[in-house]
Amino acid sequence: MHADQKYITALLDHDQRLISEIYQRFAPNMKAYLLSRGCSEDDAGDVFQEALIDIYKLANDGQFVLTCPFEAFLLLLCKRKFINKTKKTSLTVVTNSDEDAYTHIPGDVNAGAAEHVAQVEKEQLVMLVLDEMGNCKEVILKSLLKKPQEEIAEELGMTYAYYRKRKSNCMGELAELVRNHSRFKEIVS
Amino acid sequence: MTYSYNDIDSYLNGELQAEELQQFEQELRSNTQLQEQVNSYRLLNSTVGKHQLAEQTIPELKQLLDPLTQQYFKQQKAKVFTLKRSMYMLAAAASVVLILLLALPGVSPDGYTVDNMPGAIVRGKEEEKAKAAQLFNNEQYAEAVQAFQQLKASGPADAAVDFYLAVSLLKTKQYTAALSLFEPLANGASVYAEDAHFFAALSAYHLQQHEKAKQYAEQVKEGSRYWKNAKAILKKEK
Repeated sequence: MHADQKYITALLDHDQRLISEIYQRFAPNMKAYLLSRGCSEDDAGDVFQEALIDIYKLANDGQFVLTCPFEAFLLLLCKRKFINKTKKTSLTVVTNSDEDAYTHIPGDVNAGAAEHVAQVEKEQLVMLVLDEMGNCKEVILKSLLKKPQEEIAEELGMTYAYYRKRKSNCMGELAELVRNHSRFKEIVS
Repeated sequence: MTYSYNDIDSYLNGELQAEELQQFEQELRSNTQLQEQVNSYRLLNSTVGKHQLAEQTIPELKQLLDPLTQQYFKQQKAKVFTLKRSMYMLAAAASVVLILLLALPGVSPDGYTVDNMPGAIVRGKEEEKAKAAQLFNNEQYAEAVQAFQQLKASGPADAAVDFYLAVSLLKTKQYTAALSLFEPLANGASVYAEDAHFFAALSAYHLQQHEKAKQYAEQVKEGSRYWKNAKAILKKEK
């Protein structure tokens, strides 16, 4: 576990002091970096904040272990988010051969950061696919609520047996859709 | 034997009978496809559950993040005024003068900005620190010095208090006291270490401690927001 795990815990605990420290330590460099790539100030702020929320979601079950400096993880996540944003809006990215403000991050920590970012992207893809699954989405989300499964079946207007079958079929369908998604192949490659 | 997602669900929920469980686990040991299916089923369950839970508390988290994002990233929108034609000429002339004034002398050592101290709005035990932060953010530096000094005397060591106290001292031209705080910060491991190099250099510069000013200014890295100010100190100390 990296010493910067404290920032993960801070996000989970909504620790105002340490969250301020995250901004104080990392926002100025990240902003300079994104602006140098042609990002607007507003977009840079959105990218940074969205990246923190992504990390929050990733770590929300308390199981996530940071294996690289927080800054390296955050930087890579911001970069990926910015690139995705430019793809959506056809913005031009200014490319630079060096990493400007990030020359102090050694190359070997990037592998750890890349692994974490891939995990974030895989989870995002799962949620994206789920979002487009209509009734299956409702069945899956309800099945994960902390209440008796029989009660959930009743709420969904299904018999318990049918609900169980439907739920597992929906999970199977979700697994297949994610596995066959073009972005999944991109992420795992 | 082929297993369905229904069987996998029953297995993960511990609902298989002893004999079924034994058969399932035996198959699982040798069938890589089944292993993959079980793993991905388990992973999907935990991922969706985790994200669903997070969504409930994200609004609360955003209440903390929004003002910080605003403070660190977003500029205030400028007001738009309508000018008459003659006013445009005056404005243009004034702009030229201003540009010349700004451009000619270059960056000065004292032409620096400091971020607002975070945590000005907090509840409970941090209230005193919040008051001090508020004074600092309102640029009431003399009052902020007193508030930070009280905090420093009564509370545990806090690099944020030391840093903002030191900046307040610098702003009120108490350079010796400021330098005595910036030096340990610059040589320490807190998040303020990098910025403290510049402020230590600036304090030393005002105290005419030339070697020290140069020594700290040289340690300000090129990516730092104070790099240009540090260069200005080095230029003056040549």
